[in-house]
Amino acid sequence: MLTWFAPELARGAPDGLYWLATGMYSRFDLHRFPVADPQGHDLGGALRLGPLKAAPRPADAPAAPPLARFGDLAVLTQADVAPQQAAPGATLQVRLMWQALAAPGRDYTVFVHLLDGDGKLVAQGDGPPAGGEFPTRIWEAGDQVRDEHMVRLPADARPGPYHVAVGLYTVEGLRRLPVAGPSGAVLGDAFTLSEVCVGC
Amino acid sequence: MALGNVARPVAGRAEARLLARSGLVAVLTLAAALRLGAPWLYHFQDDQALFLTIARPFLEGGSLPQHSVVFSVGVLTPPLVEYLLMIPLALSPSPELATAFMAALDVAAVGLCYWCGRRFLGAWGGLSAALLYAINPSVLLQVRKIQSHNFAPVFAALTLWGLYQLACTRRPAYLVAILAGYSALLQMHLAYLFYAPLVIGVLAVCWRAWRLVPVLIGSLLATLPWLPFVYFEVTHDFVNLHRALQFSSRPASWDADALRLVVTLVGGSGYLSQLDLGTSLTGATTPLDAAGLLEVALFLLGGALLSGDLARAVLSRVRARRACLASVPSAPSTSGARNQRAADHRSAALWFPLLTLAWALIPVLATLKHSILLLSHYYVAAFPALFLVVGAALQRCGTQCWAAAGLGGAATWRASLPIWRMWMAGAATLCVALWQGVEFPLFVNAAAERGPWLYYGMAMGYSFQAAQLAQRVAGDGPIYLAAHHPLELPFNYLLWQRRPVKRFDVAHDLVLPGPNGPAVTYVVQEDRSDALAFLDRLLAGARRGRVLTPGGRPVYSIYRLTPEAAEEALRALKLGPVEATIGGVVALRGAQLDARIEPPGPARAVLYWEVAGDPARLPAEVTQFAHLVDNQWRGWGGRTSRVTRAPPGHGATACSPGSPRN
Repeated sequence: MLTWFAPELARGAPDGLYWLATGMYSRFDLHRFPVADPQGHDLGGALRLGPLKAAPRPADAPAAPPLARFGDLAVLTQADVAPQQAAPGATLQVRLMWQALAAPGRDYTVFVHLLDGDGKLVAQGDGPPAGGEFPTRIWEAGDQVRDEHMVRLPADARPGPYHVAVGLYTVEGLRRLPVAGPSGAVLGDAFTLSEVCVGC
Repeated sequence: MALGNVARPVAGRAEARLLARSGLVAVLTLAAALRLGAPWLYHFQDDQALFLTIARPFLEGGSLPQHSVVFSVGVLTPPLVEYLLMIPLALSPSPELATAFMAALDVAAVGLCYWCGRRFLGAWGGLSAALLYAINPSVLLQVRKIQSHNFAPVFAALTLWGLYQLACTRRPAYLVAILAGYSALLQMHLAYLFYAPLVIGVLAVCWRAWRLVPVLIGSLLATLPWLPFVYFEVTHDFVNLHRALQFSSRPASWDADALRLVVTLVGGSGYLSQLDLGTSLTGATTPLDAAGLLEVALFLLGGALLSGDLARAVLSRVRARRACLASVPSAPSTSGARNQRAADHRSAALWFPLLTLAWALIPVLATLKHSILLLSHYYVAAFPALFLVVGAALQRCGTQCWAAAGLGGAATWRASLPIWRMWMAGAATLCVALWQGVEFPLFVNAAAERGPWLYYGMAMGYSFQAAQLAQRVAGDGPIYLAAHHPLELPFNYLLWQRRPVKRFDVAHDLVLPGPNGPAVTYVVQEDRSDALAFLDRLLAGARRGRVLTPGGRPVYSIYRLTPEAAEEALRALKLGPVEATIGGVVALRGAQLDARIEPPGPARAVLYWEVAGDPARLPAEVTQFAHLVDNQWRGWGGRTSRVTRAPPGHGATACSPGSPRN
């Protein structure tokens, strides 16, 4: 029997990876029948097929002027840190918008570091883009990826100005991608977003 | 004895009796011809296959069914229909015979309709009621479709007849008919709960007629069929009871749509309404067109005239009774006649509120249409009381009643005409198919421009015949069916015959659950473009014959499809191999998935299933689901598709190699 399905994602579903979970259940008591692999191992009540990547059609041109370029992987088109003034122990929300330049086929991790005036790391919120829902291994050129990271300030953070820096590094070897500004000038291996004043 | 009858000579009465009996024979003959004629014209889709599938194992040494199919509100129903179906199935596994058995019971309902109405309405009133029931188009369609509610009319008539006889004669024996009949009704359809006030009311009024023996016999007959279902409930933590109690209905409302349903019931246009809307009248308000408004107006006017006339009849009865009691001496020779008159007065006084209540129940049912998922044809619950009411109108010779009958008849037949057109289209299609001598394997492609009115006739007539034809020509070989929706009929028939069938399911009307929730919200139409592309490949180069209506309108295209073409089309799908077994019975062999979803567009998937084990290990009613989940298994969308239990070997075509996606 061939069955055609065309399920649609619910409104508000974030872009990223999804799987088609299929199986069968009794219409009477909704009991799912167990799924087994050829060796007879129990796979639970559903078989996951995929993954499928859910994303808008890739844009041909950047949606906004890039703020910085991260190797040949992506450009950062939007960045927002809130709040700009925070108390010790508060949580900063860092929202980024990436646009892929190529399909890297491997996983990178986004780092978001809070640095003090001496450039010393005070707090960080590292993780794969979109919390792992849209990892870089599935990026294709033109993909726009909404990414969000949380950075919790230490409770004993001294009052004063801090900087938020972002970048990308490989999972294996922890090598950072070089960062270039809009003009192409090399900025190092991190891009400084904005200043946050703690205890102001 | 009819109202208003005057004393007649003995010869005249004998002549009238002979005429009435001849009329009854004619009505029953007509009813039988309409129900049992052309036995190949019947409906055999999922539900029909399920009823028989549940009933059949017992006759082959299996256990007694403890439940029937799932009712539309999600609870299992008691298996009385399965027990009834075992009678024809014991003779032959043929669905035709089972359907004919049900139709024969409906002929009996026509007879009971006559007997039920004869006493109060008189012979001609009873005949009118029986005739109206015998020829109602909606009934004629229903009795060719095995469904629990279609077994109900004979039991409804039996219950009404028992109620009336008990009320008139106070003979305890009728308690047996009432208890057994009403119990059967409740097992067949929950809609008959709406008759509870009627039944309880009569039983309460006639409490003096209660006797231990008939109550015991009636209770025994009433409760015995329930026992397996009760056992099922006890051993399953009363799951159906809990589910029924938890069912939350929407608020009932009374509006023009409910009014239209009243007309639908009387006029037998239920199927038309369903066809027009694609699904049913449920869930949305149907726009009333001018003709629909006219129907409603006719019905209400007829009902008002009828009610007024019945009231007038009762008043005249009361006056006659007073005159009778005042004039008849208490001589022994006249006591019999007086008792008879008294019984008639009593029956008039009781029958009027009973009929009025039955009449009043119809809009109640129509109103409740808004509150639960009820298909319009479930209003069969009101049969045959409706026709008794209309029969009462016909029996009354006053101008008002003829006007009411005329108005009701006009409304009924205006709605009925398209149904007869459907029947004629089905018969014509069948003739063309037989004349063409189309050979196996075949594929039926419903022409896109076909009108909805053609569908049902073809589904009942042609598609089924096509399956039989395919089976005959195929011999013992496999049968390939590429199915649009109408081909569910031959497909299910072939499965029922336990033939190896390879089915290419082209399209489904699927149910979309809400994200993260099991609630079924609405029916959506499948995007069929990739499925149709598959069909195009399947049919490329195939020999084609076309079935046209007499007006030259294309109805079906019939293709001679070779197994090689099917294999080729399947290969072209580029199904990635998947190896997984579900429930130890169904194997998922291949899948084709879009690698990318561009919201709000769908994720297209083609799944290729085979039955690899004994299907009896799965319940008869299985739903296949395809949900979109994230990496934490949270649901973000999906669809389901009902799967009828298939025999082993179903779908044994190998798939081509490709990249695995598991």
